[in-house]
Amino acid sequence: MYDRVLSEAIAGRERRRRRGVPMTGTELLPGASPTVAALVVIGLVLVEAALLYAAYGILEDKLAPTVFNRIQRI
Amino acid sequence: MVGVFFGFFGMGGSFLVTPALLILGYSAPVAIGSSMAFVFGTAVIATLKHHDAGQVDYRLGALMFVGITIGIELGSRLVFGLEVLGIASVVVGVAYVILLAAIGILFTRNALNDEADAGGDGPEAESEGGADVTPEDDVPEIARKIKSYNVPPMMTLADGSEASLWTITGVGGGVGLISGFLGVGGGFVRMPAIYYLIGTSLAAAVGTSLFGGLMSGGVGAFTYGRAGVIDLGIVTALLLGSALGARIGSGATAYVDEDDVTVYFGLMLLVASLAVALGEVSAWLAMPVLDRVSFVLLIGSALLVCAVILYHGALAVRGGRDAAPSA
Repeated sequence: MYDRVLSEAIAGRERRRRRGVPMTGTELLPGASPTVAALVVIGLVLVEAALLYAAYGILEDKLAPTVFNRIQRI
Repeated sequence: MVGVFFGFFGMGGSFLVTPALLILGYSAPVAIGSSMAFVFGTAVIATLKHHDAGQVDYRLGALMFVGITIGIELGSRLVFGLEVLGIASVVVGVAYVILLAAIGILFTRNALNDEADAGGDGPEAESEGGADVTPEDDVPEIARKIKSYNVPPMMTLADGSEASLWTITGVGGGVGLISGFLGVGGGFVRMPAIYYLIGTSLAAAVGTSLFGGLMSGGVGAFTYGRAGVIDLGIVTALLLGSALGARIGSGATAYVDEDDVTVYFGLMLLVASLAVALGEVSAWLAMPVLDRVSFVLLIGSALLVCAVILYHGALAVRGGRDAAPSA
């Protein structure tokens, strides 16, 4: 099933490329090979995830004691 | 919601996100590709959180991944074989419904049996007897029986117990086969398989399943990324919400009693099985209304279970329950 979807996807990418419509992460690096573009997209998702983990971690450290106290008082 | 689900059960990413994106009007390739990248990102966050609690068995996850990769290849070849016979979509649809129902029944039955075994002792008696509980007591009966065969080579798991390498590879292969056959991420099979067949604690099964999701999500994101169908805008928007949910869900595993939630999880899988069945019937009868009913059932049951997790988490915090020891 995925292979069928993938072949549709590749055809769709070619159609978008012909129309010049930027949509996916792989258009971030014009001229890059699909493998490099895919690795860059994965790298970006990884960086986003790490930043969100760290940011929410700081938020959790600051807010958790207050939230726990409030819940215990309800 | 998906984040809480993912963090607590180690599953639910593509299972919930792909149908949601399809309903929102994204094409199937973009919905699946973006969902894969999203699963990868959320799995990174949830795995990090479970890592903090010592609930991830990396060696087990990596060994399983070898079997999973081989299984996915075999599963997809099986689908191609069925496509030649012209019965692929019917067989895959029916298999998906049966599998969801079977896992749902397994979880619900075991949760109800555990509740019955506890009798009227209540949580107080349970916690009083907690000192005598060993990690082996958390292992389901099926896993204990499989472990008793001791087929070498044996591998020591993170909790100190041992499992045969054949079991680990076999379970990984089976999970991969189902994943490749059904075209799904496989978290809803991976987590129960680790718990019921390899025999880790439920918390470790969730953490290790997430690590598996991280690897399979990474491979899926790479494959779809090469086709250029990952929409980073969708992934970023989804990650912003799920990152918080994944932290809450993962954190809740340390507070919420597994038995309190397992029964709801089992029931949710049963509802999901009904939802998938309705989706299949909708395609056969060309009745889009059934597709919408299916989606509402899927999201509604997931929302309900999510609320139950948060409710039990709040109750545990109110009761002053300390975070459970890590697996």
